Amino acid sequence: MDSAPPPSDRDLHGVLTALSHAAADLVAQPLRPVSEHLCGYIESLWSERPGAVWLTGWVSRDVGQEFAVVVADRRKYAGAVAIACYDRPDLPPHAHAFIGLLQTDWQPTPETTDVFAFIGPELKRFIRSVSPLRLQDGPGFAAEFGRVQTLCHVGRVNALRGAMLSGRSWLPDTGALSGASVKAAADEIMVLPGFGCFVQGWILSPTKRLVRLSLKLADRVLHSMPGGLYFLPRPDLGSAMPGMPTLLDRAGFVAVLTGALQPEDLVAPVLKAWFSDGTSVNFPLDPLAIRRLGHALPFEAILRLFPGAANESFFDRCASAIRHEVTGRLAEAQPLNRAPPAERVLVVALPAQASDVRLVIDQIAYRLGGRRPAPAVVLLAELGAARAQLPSLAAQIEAATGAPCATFLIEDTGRPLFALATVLDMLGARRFLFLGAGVFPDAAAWTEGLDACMGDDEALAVITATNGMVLGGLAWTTAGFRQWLDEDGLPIGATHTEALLERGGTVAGGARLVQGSGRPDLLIESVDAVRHGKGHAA
Amino acid sequence: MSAELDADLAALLPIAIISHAHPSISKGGAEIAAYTLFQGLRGLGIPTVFVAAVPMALRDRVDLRADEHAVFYDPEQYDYLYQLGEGTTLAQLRRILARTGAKLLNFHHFMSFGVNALRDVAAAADVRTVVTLHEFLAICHNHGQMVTRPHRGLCGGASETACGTCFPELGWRRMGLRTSLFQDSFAEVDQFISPSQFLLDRYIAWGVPASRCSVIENGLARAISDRSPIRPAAARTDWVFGYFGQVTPFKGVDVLLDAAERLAAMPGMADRIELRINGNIAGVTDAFKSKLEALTTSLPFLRFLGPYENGGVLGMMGDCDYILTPSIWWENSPMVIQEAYAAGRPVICTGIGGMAEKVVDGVSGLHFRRGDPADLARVMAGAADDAVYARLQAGVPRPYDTTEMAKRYLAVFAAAATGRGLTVPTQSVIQNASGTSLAQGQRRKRSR
Repeated sequence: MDSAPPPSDRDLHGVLTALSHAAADLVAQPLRPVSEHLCGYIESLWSERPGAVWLTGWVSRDVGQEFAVVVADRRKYAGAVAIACYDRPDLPPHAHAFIGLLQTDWQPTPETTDVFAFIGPELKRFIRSVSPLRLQDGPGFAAEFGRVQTLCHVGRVNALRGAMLSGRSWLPDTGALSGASVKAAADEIMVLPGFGCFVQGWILSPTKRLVRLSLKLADRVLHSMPGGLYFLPRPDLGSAMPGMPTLLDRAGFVAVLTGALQPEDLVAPVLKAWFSDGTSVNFPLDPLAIRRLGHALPFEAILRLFPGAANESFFDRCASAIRHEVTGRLAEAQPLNRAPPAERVLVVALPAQASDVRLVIDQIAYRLGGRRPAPAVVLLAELGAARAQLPSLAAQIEAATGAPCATFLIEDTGRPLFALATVLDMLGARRFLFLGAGVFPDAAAWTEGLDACMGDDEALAVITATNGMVLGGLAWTTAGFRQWLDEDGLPIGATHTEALLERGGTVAGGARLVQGSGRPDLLIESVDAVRHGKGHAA
Repeated sequence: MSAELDADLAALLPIAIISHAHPSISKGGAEIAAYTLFQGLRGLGIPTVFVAAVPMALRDRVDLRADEHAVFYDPEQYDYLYQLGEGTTLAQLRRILARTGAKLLNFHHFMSFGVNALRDVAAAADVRTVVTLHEFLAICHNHGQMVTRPHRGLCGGASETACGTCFPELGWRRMGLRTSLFQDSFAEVDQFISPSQFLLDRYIAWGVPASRCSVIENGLARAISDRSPIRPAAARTDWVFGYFGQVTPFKGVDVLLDAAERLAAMPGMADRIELRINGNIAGVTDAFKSKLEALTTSLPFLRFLGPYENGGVLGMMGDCDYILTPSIWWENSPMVIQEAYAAGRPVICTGIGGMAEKVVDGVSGLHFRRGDPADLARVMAGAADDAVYARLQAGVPRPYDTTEMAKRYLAVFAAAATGRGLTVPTQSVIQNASGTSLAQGQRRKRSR
């Protein structure tokens, strides 16, 4: 059974809405702040959200607790105020302090210095802001509310507290204010811009049943999907709430929350737990629990929480966000040195291991050293150890071959074809020979690959591994490569380059590959399956 | 002398002896052999230059004499997996070769210059290249020892899979790539020379064409005409066994220490022998050092004498009855065996590889089982016998000197210069590994 009806701000909201409408009719009237009509002061403000400004201050006791106002701050705004009042020893006998809510379109700003609120319907009496006006934040105002709420003897303090705890409120910590004995935390918040997040955590609520979750990151609010919340036992939390074994059986939770999350939103997480009685409680979460998928965690980390993610209803949107996230980063290429235009280029992605890099440079110098004409050379490197070596590597190649050598930093040399397109465009290259990271062609493959690069055949020529049909390199026209990208679209997973194998002819010889393609990210493979219309992976 | 040379070889003079180190900096077997050859060729009146790789940081220490040149390199920039040298190393080497006009190049090892430097200078159409193999570095990444990691077992043959097992952190793919790089580079070489048949057989099995290979033992630079006299049995108070060389994990000194403990336990043996360990300690564990220190204290017949000057090694060996070579790796043609023979002393060695080839068991020395201290102790105990010693002493051969070594090299250089075959008598020290003409399998001068 759920507990007794909760405090609600529903009635108060209706009253304030009606008063606001009445105030709207008053806005056109002239306002004159005659000092003899001054009946109080606004001492501090907290702008909770558009339409809701919380106030503290004092007023004459003969001012009511709910009234229409016209706010004057350079221009006029209709509004309505509800206050709860209490005695304060520094005030004269005819006045009392208040804490209250102003419902209005007016919003204070850091530049707000002098604001008036004329009390309707006469609009003669008014309250004004003290100077300087104190702008509070949510936690500070909530703390002040918590201190004074028990002192209030006039006005609708319970309704005001209900408004503060309403679902619209994103005060970061409302547990104490609500009086509810609920505790919660997130162990992990896996965020995916463009989609939302996956949260694993726990919540201990001895009296109310959790039904859904919302999460606020910066100013972005995400909501748990219907059916996107499930529970797990958390026996490890027994010491926090002893003697409640049933509660611990469902204390852990996993949720998928969706919304238009942006990369800049990944701060200040606040979790809102919604209960079956319609109430909610907010919990500040540890920002260190936020992990960006594809950055701090592989995408397949989602499978830990949703093992059948590829068959979940959210997966198409999730896959779209992953693909957008991956391709955006993979396509970036930052030139490290001056990159002059070149019609024909040899583009080589550098491997990670220093010895392999040395061998790559040796092979380029050896194979191009006596060749005339020779293509320009382009080295692609990640922002790893190879970055520091790039300028000297380029200098070595230029000294050994006489060909110009451009260098670019890219996101992932293991998946370089997105960046290759960018680099070819930047250089204005018409033809190219590309070698993947850790690919070492034999003499025959070098010769045919370079011949293809320097020739005029429009066909794709691929260099494959000597020990299997794995793509190591390709020689092609930029136009052909671009057209293929536009038509087919590149997969982003382990089959990144394999799609090209069936498209072109294979050159003589082969290449040794010093690194395997690596263990595939299982979720990425499912993303590619969605892209290519193969349905969800099993 | 040069006037007597084959005209093709004469056209390539001077000869460049290219060594991975200079003897004034380090005293490893390869650089000493290279320098010995340089001196031998000059002694025969053959125009010859010596080119040594020298670490940049040691450039002030190198002692260059007439016709000696140094290529300076930065060891930090050298790649020890693929044995790749810097571009500046190659450029320096090319400048020296151009300045001296040397066209017959004899590489003693490719380390420090890099196998890329060997490949690139050898690829020139007007150059002939001879490579002297000094250990298995092209075959084995484990210091060229063909000893497995981490258990130090003997490796019977390299393969991608086996090498990948030794170096899981590098993986079999890199091992295969490494092999193809070396084989590709060696394709530019006209002739290979090995100081031992064992070493050569391993390279042939790995892929070096037998038709381009010869065996020439390293010569000794110092005078070997005056052998140390045999110590008269009546004057001998005990049998002296000497170890000479670096005290490293591969040299088997730990086996020797274990054998010493067993000898100490043999009744009456400790009073009849003396075991001298000469050499500097390198690359051993603290536990080994502690054990060495403890045993030299507890065993009166065991003495650790530390580093020695190589110039005086024959005299020090002459003060011993037997020379010990307990290496746990194959060895190639250990200089210490040549020196022992020069001093007129039989050798007790591990019965494997180059050691077993150079020391004929029961003739010029005795073999024991690899890494077996009990067997070594048994063999040493048996060697402490006048009759056995007299028989082995009589079987000690006479090693090459510089002149003999140089003459035999010249025959191979001439073959490289002319591209013709070299027929070698079976009993000759210059042996064609396959017994066939070296005209087969000529090196390529290929386009890239």
